[in-house]
Amino acid sequence: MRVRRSASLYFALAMLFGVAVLVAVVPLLPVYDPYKQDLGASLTPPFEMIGDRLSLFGTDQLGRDILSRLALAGQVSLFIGLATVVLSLFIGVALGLIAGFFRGWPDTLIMGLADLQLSIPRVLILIAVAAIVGSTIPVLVLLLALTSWVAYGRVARAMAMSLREREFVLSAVTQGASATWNIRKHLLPNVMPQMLIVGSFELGQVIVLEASLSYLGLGIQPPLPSWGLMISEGQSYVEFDPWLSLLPGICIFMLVAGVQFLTQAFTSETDAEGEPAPRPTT
Amino acid sequence: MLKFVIRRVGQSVLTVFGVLTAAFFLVRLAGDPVVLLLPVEATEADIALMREALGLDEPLIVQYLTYLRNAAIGDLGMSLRQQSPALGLVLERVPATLELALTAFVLGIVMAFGIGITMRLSTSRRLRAAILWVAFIRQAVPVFWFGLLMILLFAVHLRWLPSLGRGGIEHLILPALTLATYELALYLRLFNASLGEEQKQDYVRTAYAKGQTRARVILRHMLPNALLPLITIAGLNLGVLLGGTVVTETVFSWPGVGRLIVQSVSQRDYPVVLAGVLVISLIFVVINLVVDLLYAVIDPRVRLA
Amino acid sequence: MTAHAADPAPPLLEVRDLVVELATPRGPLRVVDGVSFTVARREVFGVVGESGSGKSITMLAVMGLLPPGMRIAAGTIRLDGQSLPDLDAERLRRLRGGRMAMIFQDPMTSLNPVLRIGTQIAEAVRLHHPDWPAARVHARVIEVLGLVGIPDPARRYRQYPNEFSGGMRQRAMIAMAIANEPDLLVADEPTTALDVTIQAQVMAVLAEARARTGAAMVLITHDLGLVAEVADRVAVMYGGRFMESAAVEDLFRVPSHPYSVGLMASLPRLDRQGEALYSIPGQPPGLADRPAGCAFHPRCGLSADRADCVARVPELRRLGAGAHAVACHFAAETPAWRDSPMVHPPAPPPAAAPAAAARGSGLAVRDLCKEFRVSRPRRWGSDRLHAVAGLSFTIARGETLGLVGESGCGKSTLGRVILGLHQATRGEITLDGEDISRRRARRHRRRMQVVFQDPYASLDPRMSVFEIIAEPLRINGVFRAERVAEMLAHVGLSPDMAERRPAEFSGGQRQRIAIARALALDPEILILDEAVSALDVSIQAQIINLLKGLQRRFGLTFLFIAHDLSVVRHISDRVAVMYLGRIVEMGSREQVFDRPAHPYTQSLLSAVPVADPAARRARIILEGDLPNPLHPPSGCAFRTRCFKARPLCAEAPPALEDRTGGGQLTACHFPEPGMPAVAAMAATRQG
Repeated sequence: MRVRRSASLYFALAMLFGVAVLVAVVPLLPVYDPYKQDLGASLTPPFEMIGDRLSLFGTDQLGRDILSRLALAGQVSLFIGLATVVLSLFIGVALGLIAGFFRGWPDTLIMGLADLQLSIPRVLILIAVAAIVGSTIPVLVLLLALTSWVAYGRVARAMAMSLREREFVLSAVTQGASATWNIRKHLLPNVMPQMLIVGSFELGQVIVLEASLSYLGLGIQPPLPSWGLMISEGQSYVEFDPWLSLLPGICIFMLVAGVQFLTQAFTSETDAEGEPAPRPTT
Repeated sequence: MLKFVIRRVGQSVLTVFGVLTAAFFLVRLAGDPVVLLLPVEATEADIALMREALGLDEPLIVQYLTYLRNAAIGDLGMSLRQQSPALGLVLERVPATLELALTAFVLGIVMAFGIGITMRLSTSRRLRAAILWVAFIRQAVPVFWFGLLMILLFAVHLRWLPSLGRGGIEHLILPALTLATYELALYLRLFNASLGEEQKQDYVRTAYAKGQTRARVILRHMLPNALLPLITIAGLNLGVLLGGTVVTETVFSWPGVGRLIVQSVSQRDYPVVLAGVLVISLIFVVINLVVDLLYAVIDPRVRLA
Repeated sequence: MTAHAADPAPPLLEVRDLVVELATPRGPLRVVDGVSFTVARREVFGVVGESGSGKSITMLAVMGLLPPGMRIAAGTIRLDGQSLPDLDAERLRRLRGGRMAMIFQDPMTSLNPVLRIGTQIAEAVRLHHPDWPAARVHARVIEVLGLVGIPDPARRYRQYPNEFSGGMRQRAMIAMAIANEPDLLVADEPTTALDVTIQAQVMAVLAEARARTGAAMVLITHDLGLVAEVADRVAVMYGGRFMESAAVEDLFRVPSHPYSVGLMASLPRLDRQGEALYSIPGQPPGLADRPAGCAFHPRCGLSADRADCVARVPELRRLGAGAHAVACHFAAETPAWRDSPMVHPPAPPPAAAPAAAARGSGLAVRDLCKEFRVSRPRRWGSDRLHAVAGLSFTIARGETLGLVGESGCGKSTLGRVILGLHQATRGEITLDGEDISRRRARRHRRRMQVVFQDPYASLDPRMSVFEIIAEPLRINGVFRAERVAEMLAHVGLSPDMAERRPAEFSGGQRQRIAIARALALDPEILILDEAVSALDVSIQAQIINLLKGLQRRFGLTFLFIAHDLSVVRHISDRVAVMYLGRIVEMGSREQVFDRPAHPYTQSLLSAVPVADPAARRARIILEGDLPNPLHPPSGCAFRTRCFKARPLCAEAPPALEDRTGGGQLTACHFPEPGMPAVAAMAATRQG
């Protein structure tokens, strides 16, 4: 994989740097306290003084420090996103390779399950299950992972199907290699780079999904902050205190855009053209 | 072709059956269905009555078959909050959801088509890169927050359009645009990638060797080939669109199935939640079926295989 | 035909000092580096070269179809006196497909899959005759489809490319190219993707079409045999430059550039039996590392790195008064070198066959069948495909059995069944008398190893060369690092290459690595499945020589599966010819190649172009395509294309038996050893 030093790359790095500062540096600041309510100082706009100290991003309807809450919410979002990607990548690669390498009934079964999942909009599965089972962080991660393994599974299966017919796998078979050997030595190393690309696209998707669920009240439960929840809470004040829902939205955007543009810098979408060159000027 | 149609329809029926089954076992797995299916303030007597009514004393397999039979005749249980069948409540809201989803879908695909072809016909790399950038940026913005920004700009600040509810066309504009721009961004990227892929094919060189013009090579030769993957993805992506509808309906208080589902969740009205999910899945399955059949009509390789 | 310079008429195409550059981040690279030639009207000009020599790019530059990143940096191109690079894009476009047309290599991908064949040809007609009414365009398309021998053109007009066989698609491509009666036809490897009997059909169609339209043709190919048969004049290209250019008879009679000499000496021949091939050492250079001076000097047998060769680029200069021109500083020395033993290596000593025979009876296959279930398109149910339909043969220890046949004949399936990659449906495979067709016989697997065709798919791109060769040892728990080094040395690779990855190697080197891996477990039998088919001529000779050397050294038994009859003749002791899952003829190589008795073998042999323009040979051109293997003809499967077919052939399938004496087995009711001289064939000298 080659990184192109493109505008996308620098944009991505800038966005991700911003998020990194928010989740890693802000908690070290003395003002950091995401839970402390101060009804007297509720809905303070950004850059105003509360008493003797500057409230950088203002406070919410309960007077809690928005900057601190954004930072904590970012940690939660990142944790959920990364944990989900790791878990779903693991499930997806395992099932995809099994389906693609062995074919037959495991393939029918696994791909049937995948088709079934794809035939229900993902948000709806999440809503239905979260509504019935409840939504703690482990449940959310598990749910998100169980609904997003298909992306990895389908790609891994397609690659496994083509790899198992490749000559280097066949020749290993003639040398006595078992299925486990081939999957471990040939399929997995060849599938992983592509899986990481899928994973980085999925990371953005999962973060948005989590935010959407939280926005609908089905994700992170208060008092734990979440960007989606903060937007939802701020929506009632959108007319006069728009920063309440603007700031968390900007955070989601920075994280998701950063991840997406970084992936794009690695994969290159705007590639060369197969057209006849314009006539030369000798 | 007939074989393909029969097989594909069979697959759809199987999917619907699978969704119904999944819903049944989800409710059973989550604990005592009676607790889920009754309002929190229900009495012991209510619970006993419910048990009997639902046939919960029967073996699981009998319950399952009863459930399937009821589902087949459209009986998905009663709403816990309103004294009417859950399915009826959902079906009342379907037109609103379809109005929003289809408007957004058509808007998105038409714009993607127009812009996508324009940017491929243009020889300016800068223009293409700029459009792709905007598409990328739009994709990084969650639907609900984009909706909020639209409300903030067009309803709160400019006061051009209403922010909430359903009514005339002016009510439709903001939610439809919110959804359509998300679709647009995705389709544009796919369309561009797919056209780029076609551009590398040997038949393109053959067409140029015939003396064909660049515009005609793009429109006559590459376009039909590039549309095929786009149709597949557009079909699959309708799931995302319908999911997006749920969120969008909540942002704009649009009285569709999605908003009904979310409201019912907060009211713990599970029969309605499940009915809503089933109905949207059914819509999605039907649309995907149509898309696949459409695909077969366009591509001789599928039609003849 | 020759001496075009003396011709008073101006040439149709004149290219002078053409330079094509590829833009790279590290500056432009010269893909074509100062090429000059002319093509007269009605003439066939052949450009021969290995992959990467720049032969296709030269002609794409003429057509104005250079791929992105490439541009004409210098030189002139004139078509009928008109300078093409000076034309604006629109006027050049009107010439393309009109006065000059091109036929591409791969008919499978060069047609648009979603448009009807007729529509695609009509498009070409309409573009250059915008005033023609639809009916006239349609009539013209039907006419050219008929001209290229597509049966039932009115029906075929409405079909899509995937309903056409490979040969039919290439006919459609030719129809498209000649639809506007061009003056210049550029054919870029037009038959490389096709089987040899189909190639013969297509070349005959091309000759016919040119005779009708009077088009001149530039034929780009790697196949020396094809140019020898078709071209009037030939240029040999290497490293972006012409090394030699001459009338076809002169080039093949007295090749005068060391590269041309080397190419011809490294080519296995169908018409004679040589024991060893000359092999040009080294690899063709990549675009980025073309040597200074003469591009060929590092591989040249004559240069010996003399200062002139290293420092100065040789001009293409006339030899004497004729049109024969050579780009070599020491062309005067070539004749002496050409006839020296350096170029004609002596036959190596024969293998120690008796000792090998004592070790066991070798591989025996009895009544082997492999069926696949193929689900029916558009209908329910499935059919049985008899990919291998009852084969019996033996290969003795240390022997090479060549297995030839066209694509779809089942030869690769047979190889895979023997290897245990497919389970046989019926029949028996024994190795030294032990049955190895059972699943339980896994431990015998390592006694047979395989080398596949595609050097790029054969090696795991994520492993180092060391790991690739170590893999079979590790699987079987016998890993020793010294063994890997030993194997590298056996195949002529240096040990310091072990840590590199396959992507850093050329096709020939990768094939060496694949051979090293196959030999690591010390197998007795090597199945070579088109193992040299994907390689350029000079590299192919290296690998063939390597294989023969390894066979002698380790007493290996080879099953050599290939479609290239010349290579099979060169390497095999005995030969089996397959058609539709059956062996139709089997015998010693002299029997099969010199006295073929089955009409299919005879047709195959006659269809192979021979690199000798002086040879005037009778050619049997088979009609039609391979029948659908799902529904093979009754009786003898070959009867539908056979020039001898009689009623009996449809009734009884002929058994493979000794019908002519001398141990040669033939599955034909009417075997006649020797090349036939029947009326069914056309005496052809195409061109």
